[in-house]
Amino acid sequence: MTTRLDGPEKVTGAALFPADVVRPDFLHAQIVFTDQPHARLVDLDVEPARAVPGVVEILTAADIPVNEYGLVFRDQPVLIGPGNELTAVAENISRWEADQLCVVIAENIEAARAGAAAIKVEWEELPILGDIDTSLQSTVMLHPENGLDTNAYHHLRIRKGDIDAGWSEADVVIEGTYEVPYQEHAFLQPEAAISYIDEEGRVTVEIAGQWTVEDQEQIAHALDLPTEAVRVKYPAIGGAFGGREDMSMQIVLAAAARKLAARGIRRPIRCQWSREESIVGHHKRHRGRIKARLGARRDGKIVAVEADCYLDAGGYNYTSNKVLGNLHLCVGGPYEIPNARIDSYAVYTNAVPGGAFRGFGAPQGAMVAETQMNKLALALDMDPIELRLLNSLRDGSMGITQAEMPLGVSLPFVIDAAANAASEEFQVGELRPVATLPSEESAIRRGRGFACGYKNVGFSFGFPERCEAAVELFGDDEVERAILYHGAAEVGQGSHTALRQMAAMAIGIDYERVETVYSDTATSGDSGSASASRLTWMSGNSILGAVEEATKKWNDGERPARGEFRFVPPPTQTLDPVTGAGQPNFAYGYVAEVVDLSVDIETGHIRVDRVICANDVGRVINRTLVEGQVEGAIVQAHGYAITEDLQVKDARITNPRLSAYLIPGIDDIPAEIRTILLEHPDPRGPWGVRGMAEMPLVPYAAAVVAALHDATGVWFHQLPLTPSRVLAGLTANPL
Amino acid sequence: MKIALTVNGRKVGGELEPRTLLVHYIRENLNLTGTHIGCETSYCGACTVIMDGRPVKSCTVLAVGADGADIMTIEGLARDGQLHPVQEGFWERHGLQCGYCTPGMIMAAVGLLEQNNNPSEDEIRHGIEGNLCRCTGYHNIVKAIEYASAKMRGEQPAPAEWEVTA
Amino acid sequence: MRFVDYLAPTNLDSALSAFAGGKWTVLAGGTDFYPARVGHPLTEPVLDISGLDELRGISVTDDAYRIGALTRWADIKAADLPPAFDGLRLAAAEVGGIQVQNAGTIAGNLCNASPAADGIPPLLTLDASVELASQGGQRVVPLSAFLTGYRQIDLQSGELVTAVIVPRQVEEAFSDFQKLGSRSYLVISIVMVATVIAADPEGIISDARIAVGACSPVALRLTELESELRGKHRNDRALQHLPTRHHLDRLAPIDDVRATADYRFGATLTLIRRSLRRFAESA
Repeated sequence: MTTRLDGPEKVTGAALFPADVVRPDFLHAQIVFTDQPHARLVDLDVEPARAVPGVVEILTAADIPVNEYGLVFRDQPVLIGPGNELTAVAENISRWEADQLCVVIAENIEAARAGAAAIKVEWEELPILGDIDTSLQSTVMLHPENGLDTNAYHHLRIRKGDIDAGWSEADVVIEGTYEVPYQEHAFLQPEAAISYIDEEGRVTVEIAGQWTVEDQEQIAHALDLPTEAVRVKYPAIGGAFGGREDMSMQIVLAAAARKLAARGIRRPIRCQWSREESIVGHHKRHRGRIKARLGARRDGKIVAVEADCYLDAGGYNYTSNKVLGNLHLCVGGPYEIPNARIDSYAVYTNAVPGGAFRGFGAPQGAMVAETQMNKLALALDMDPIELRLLNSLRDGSMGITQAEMPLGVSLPFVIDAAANAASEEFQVGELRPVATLPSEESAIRRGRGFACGYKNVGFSFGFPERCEAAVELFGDDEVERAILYHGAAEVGQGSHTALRQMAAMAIGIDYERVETVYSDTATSGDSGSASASRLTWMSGNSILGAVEEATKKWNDGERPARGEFRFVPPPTQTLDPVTGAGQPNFAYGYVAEVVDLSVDIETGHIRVDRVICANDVGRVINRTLVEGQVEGAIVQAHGYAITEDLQVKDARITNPRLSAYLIPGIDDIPAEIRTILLEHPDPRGPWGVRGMAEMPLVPYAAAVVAALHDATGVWFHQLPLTPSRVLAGLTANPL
Repeated sequence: MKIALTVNGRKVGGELEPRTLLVHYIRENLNLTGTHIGCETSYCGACTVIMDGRPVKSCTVLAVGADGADIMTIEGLARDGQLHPVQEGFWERHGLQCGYCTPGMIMAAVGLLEQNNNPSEDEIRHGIEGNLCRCTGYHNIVKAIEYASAKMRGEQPAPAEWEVTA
Repeated sequence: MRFVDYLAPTNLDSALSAFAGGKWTVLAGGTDFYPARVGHPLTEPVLDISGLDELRGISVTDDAYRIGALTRWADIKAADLPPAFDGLRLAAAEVGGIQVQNAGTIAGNLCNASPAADGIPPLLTLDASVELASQGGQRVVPLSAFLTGYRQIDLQSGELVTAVIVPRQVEEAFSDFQKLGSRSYLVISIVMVATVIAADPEGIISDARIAVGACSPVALRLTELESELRGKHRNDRALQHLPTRHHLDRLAPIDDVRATADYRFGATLTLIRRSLRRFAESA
C-alpha cells in the first residue's frame, strides 16, 4: 500500500504552492507585457512609475547583464529595451504581445500595478506576421540575426528509399490537409514565484517548474553569474504538462532580487500572474498545417509516405525545433515505410510561441498519420486493425529515419489488446443530455474509431541526456534507513512517490525507511526535466546506479555510505540534413485506443461514451498513479480534440479566460475510460519500466475523428470538433 | 471598516479595506493559504469555501460582505489530526494529482454531502460541476466522493486500490 | 491610496436613502461584480444590498408570484413552484455552477443584462415584470421594456430592483428551458430557448410563449411563431414543421469565440423543435 507521499498535505491545504508563501516583508512585482505583437521600442520612460507612492524599483533591459534566453537557443530578450548589446537578437523589438518590457517592484500589488500603468512607452509598429502563411510570404525577417532569408528557420528532411518508385507501386493513394490547433496548458495554478538572496548569498527563486537545473542555468546565463551563485527550488507545483518547461518569471525575479540587494534592500519579492496573464504569457501546443499523402498496395502494404509539415513557432523558438523533430518522426506513423519524403518547417510569426505540451509534436503527427491510415483502411475495404498489424513496426524494423528501432517495439501488442477489449460487447449507457439540452434518439448517431501511436521517451536528437541521483545508507550491520536526494519535479504525476518506491526497491528496504530530499539545486543534482515521459525511466536508472555505488561503499565499511550516480543513456543523433538518417531516440512508448462516441447531428455535440486505452508501460511501479496518468491524459486529449478552442486574431489571443477557453468539466469527459496496462519490459528501462505519461494523449484525436466518420460518414481535418464546426461539416456533407 | 466573522470556528475580524475580497482576506490576513486562486473570474472553483453552510467561490465575495458569517475553509475540516472523510477519500482514491484544485473540490464535495448524504454518481457530478481539474480526468474525484459518502453513512468503503509492485 | 466607499444597509429604506444621495454601484450576489473588474483596482463606491433580507424569498398573492430581488438561484431551483416555472428552475440550475447559484441573485442577472443571461428567456416567457423602488416611490415595468439594449436597462437614478413579479396566468402550462453551450456546465450559452405553452383540455394551444437568448442584444420573444401556434392542437402535424427560418428574422446572432451566427440560427430551430416535441409528448 503506497499512497501518494504528498496526499495528506494536499488534502488539508497545508501544501505550499509558490503563491502560498506569505511573508510580512514581501515586496510585490508586476511584470509589464509589451502588448505589441511586433513593434520597435522608440522610447521608454519609467520615471512616472518611480513617482507612484509605494514603488520601490523598476527593472528594465539595462538591468539584465546578458539580455537573452531560450531553452534550446537564445533568441529572446529577457526584457525588451535598450540593453547591454551583448546579444545577437535585437533587444528593442517586441515580437510577441507577451514579451516583457519591465518589472515594477512596490510595497504592495496595487502600487506595483499603478506604477505599471504610469509607464510611458512609445512604439513604432512593424508589420504583424500573424500566421504561418503571412510569415512565409513576408520579406520581413523576425530574426535577421540567424542570417536566413526565410522565417521558416528550421527545416527537417526525410528522404528514404525511392519515393517515385513507391508511388508507382501504390494501388491506393490517400491525400489530406490537416489543420491542428493550439492548446493551452491551463494548469490550475497560474505562474507565481518568490525570489530572495538566501543565507549563503545565492540569488534564489522558488517557483513551479519542471527542471531545477535548467532554470538555474538560464538564470545564471542572463545574470552573468556562475550557476552555483543561483539557487532554484520547487515548492508544490500546480500542474505543468510542458507549460512550465520554459522561463516565465524566473530570470526577471532573480534580477530584481539582485538589483535590490545591490541597493542594500534584502526583502523577498513575490509575483503572481492572473489567469489572463498566464494564458497570454506562456507558450502553447503548436498550431500547424500538414499536407500528407499515403500510398499502399492492394494487399494493404504501405509503399510511400509524403508530408509537408508547418508549425507556427511564434515569436521565439522555445522548444519548437525539437517539437518539430518529433512531429517529423510521427507524421508517417509507427509503421514500416520503405519510401518516404517528409519536409517539416518551424516558422517564426508574431503569434504566441509554440512549445512543450504533453505529447510534444506526437499528437499532431498522430492526428495526421492515423487519420490517413483510417482512410486507407476504408479505401482498401480492410479492417483498420489488420491494416496496422500488417504494417506495424516490430523489433528489428527500420524506423522512418533509417535506423533500427530500439528493442522492445510493442506496438502489435497494444493494438491487439485494445482491439480485443473493444470486441467484447459494449452497451452504451443511458443517453445523457448535454446540460439541459435533451438528447433525442432520432438525432443521435454512434460510431467507433481506432488509432494507435508511439512517442519517444527522453530527449532526442543528440541531446546530452542525463539524470543524477544520490543515496545515503544508514545503519550498522543492516541498512536501517536511507536518504534519496533527487532533483525530480513533482508536477502532480506522483514522481516523488514513485522515486521513493524505486529507491526502496533498489536498496531492498521498506518504503517507510526511505527519506527523500527533492527539487532544490542546493541539495540535489541534475534530474533533467519532468517531461518527455522520461522521469520514471531516467530516475529509476539513476537511482539504481546510486544505490549500487552506495552499496559498494557500504560493503567497504563506510557509514553512512553515500553513492552518487549520473545515468547517461545510449547516445542519440541529430538527423542527417539531407536524408534525415540517424538514430534520434533510445526508447519509445506505444499506445492504442478505441473510442466509442455519440454525436447529435442536429447540434453537433459529441459525447464520448467509452475509450479503451492500451498502453505498454513496461513495468508498473504504482498502478494507481499510472492509471491516473492515463485518465488525465485522455481528458486533456478530449479537450484538444473537442472543446478547447484558443483563438488568435492579429497575433493576439482573444479568449484568454477560462470562461471562453473551455477545458473539459466533469460532465464533458468520456463516460468510461478503460485502461489496459501492458507490461512488456523495455530492455533499457529500470525494472523494465517504459515512459508512459504522454502516450494516451497521442492517438486520441485521430480515434475521435475516425469514430465521428463512422457515425456520420464525414471526415474532419480540423480540430477542435466544436459543435459549430461539426454541424458546419455535416451540413456541407449531407448524410 | 470593521468586520467580525467566524472562520473554522475561530472568531476573527478587524479593520479592513472594503475592496478586499474574501479569498484575499483568508489567504493574506488569516494566512490560510489552502484556499487557492485559479482564475479570479468565478470559473475554476479553486477558491471554494463554505459560507453559512453553502459552498461559494470566495473570489466573488467581498470580505466585508462576509461580516457576521460563518466560514469553513479546507484547513478547518480535519479534527484533532483526523482527516475528514472527504479528505480521506481524495487521498485514498487518488482524487488528486497536482493538488491545486483539491481544496476547492473538497469543499464543494463537503457542501454536497451536507445536503445529500447518499448522492448518486449523477448528483456527485452536479455537486462539483462548478470546479475544474486539469490533472485527474475527474473519474477518481467521483470515486473519492463516493468513498466519503459511504464513510459518512457509517459504511466501510472497500479498501484502497493502491498497489506496489516491489 | 484611495479607500473605497462601501455601504451595506440592512433595510430597504436606508438603502434607498443612501442610493438617492450618490452614485453607487450596487452589489447583490457579487458573482459577476468582481470577475468583471479583475486586474483593475476597485475604486467605485459600492452599495452592498446583500443584507436586505426583506428582498429575499418567493411569495404568492391572489394574482401574482413575487420573487424578491435577492432570491438566489439555488433557492429558485429548490422552490415549490407550479409547472409553468419549470423552465425558470431549469435555468436556475444552469447559472454558473453550484457556488454561483448559491450566491447569484435573480435581480443581479437581470440588471447585468447580458445577452446570454440564463434567467432572462424563461422570465420573458412568464410575462414577468420588474418592481422598482426609489425614495420617490415605486413602479412596475414589464421585463421586456426593462431590458433596453445590450447590457442596458431602464433604471432611473436612485432606483433599485426590489422584486420580479410573475402574473398568475398559466400556472399549469408546459414549460421548458434549453441551454446549448460547448461545455456541460460553467459555460456561457451559445443559444438558449425558453418555452411556456398552455393548452385547453381538448389539447388546443391557448397560449404560447417562446423566448430565445444569446442571439440578439436582448433576449427576444418570437411573437409571430407564438401566434401561429395559438389555436393549433398539440398533436397537429403542422407543429413538426415549425419553426422555420423566417420566424427567426428578428434575431441577430453574431460570430464570436463560441460559435458562428449560422450555427446559432440552426441550433435555435433545433432547440425550439425539440421543445415543441416535448410539449406534444407532455400530455
